[in-house]
Amino acid sequence: MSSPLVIDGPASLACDVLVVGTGAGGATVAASLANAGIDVLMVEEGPYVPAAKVPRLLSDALPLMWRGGGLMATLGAIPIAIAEGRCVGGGTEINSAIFQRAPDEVIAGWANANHLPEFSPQTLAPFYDRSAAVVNASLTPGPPGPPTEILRRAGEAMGWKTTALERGRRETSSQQHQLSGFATGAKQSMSATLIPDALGRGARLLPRCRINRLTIKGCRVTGAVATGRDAQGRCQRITLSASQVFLCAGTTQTPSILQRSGISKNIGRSFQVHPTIRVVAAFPEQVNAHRHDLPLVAISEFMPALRMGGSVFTLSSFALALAEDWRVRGRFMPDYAHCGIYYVMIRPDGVGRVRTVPGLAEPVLTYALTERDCRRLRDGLSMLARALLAVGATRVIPSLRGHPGWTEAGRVEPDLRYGLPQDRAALMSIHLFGSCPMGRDPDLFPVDPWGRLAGFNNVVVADGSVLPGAPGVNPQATIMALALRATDNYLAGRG
Amino acid sequence: MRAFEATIDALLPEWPPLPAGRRSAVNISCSRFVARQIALSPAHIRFGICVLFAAFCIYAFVRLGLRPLGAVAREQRAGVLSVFAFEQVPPLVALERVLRSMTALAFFDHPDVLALISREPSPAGNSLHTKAP
Repeated sequence: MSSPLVIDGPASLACDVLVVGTGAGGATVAASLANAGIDVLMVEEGPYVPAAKVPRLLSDALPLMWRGGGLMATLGAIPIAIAEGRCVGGGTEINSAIFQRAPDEVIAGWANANHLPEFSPQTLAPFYDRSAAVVNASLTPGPPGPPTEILRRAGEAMGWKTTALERGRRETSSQQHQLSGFATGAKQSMSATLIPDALGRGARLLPRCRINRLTIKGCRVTGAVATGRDAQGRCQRITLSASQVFLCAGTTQTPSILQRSGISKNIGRSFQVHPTIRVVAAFPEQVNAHRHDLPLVAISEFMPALRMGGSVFTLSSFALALAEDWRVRGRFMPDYAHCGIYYVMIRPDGVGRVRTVPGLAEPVLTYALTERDCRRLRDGLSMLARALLAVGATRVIPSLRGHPGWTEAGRVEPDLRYGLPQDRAALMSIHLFGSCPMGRDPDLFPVDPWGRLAGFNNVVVADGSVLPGAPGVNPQATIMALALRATDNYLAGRG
Repeated sequence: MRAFEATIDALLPEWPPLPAGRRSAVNISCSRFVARQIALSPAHIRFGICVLFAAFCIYAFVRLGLRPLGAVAREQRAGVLSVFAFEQVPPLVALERVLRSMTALAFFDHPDVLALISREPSPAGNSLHTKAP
């Protein structure tokens, strides 16, 4: 297996296929193409962090592996804190490796709305199966921890369906645990699976290389101009040339690269997220969530409209949740062993935009929730709080500034009778997609049903940005499945 | 103490109580972390934080009787910040939340704090089970 490239000055690199980005989409594309014997060069804006060196503390991971140091947000009436990976492996390195297929009705709805041929639960199933095999998507063995049991009992108490969550994981003998709760080497992120696979088959990887713009000649992209970092951390100009480009830089960066390259038609205009609101739930007994896996079940009764789940719990992530309103909640910090963090995530109607502003390295993201989105968040919050109180929570604190928390189920609905207090709600999302959605009509959609960029004959987009809408579940599985589909189509056309 | 470090010091959680000799070191570590996170954030967000922080410094200077933040006691700094954020103007609240969040994150990941917490007896969990204030 070849090591990641290190440059020592201005460089020119040529390849057959340039893959921009190494997340769930880029790694999938690169491994498939390398497996077919194609000369592949992967470039990644962030650093390469081997599994053994993944930080065990959030404060170490944020500056190293998260875009914007984790300080990212959409602008709008209700700002939404968002998270994106910025390292080799992309978002798969910072998520919880939960593997969920998009519900059948969602896939059918996308096919219908965007006129996608050969796009159905049945035709996508083989791609999902291959993706699941790559990450060994499986249920976590052994007894579930209290955070999982609490959510399962909460669902059962209300008569709601719950679903066990599969994760990309493998057994390991390591005793050390990473931030995500996995033992070192157990998490099947892209840096543990498809990146080494691609490197083992001859692909090259250049980390710490940011694409400034694509170079265009007629209806072809001939390569890119990039800025890389040498071993001393100095900026170096890098010229890349390729006969084919796969853009897999992620939901915010792919449209930004296209806009910086002068390609803007329908780009970045339908950006979506899964708006999420958290609650902290406290119990009389010790939950010790900091010593257990995140809840590995979800309340799926109301999917795809909304889903309830649980978050990774560390002392610092608990402090982050309380810091939304520290003056009211800071006093609860010593009770960390009695608490869990749960959330409601909705499949929204609202859309936003990704706008590249000259002079700014990062695009400006805007997002607007619709009235129905706010109703869904309010309903989900009410249901989750009542469910947790039904299984013994003594206090459920919503992410609403100034709210002291509910101690009785009967107080929840009256409290929310006027809807979600938009000026006090702290929303977040770790799922971003749809900024370059696929569709049949090139006048309406920037990429075709196989991810090919409209107006160009050698560019394919294969990341979260091509999702036609919100999947209602963690998008990693769908991104991988659609990337495999796009790559298979490219290889079939190549002959 | 510079204004930024003085502000972060005012935002350090009270629990667990740090030995007097360690508080300064933890504050420096947290201040560096928060400053680095702000430096890494997108330019438009960074710009907003810097403008609002400058506004806060001017506000605090006036409110503290033309004394710089670093020259007054921690309680006074915390009080000024609290009043500033209590104006309920969304950007002001957002500034306090960003600084508070990053400070709390750095604080509860700090090795001294983690060591202190690991030595503490198991928390009783009483404060969460009382009725809402």
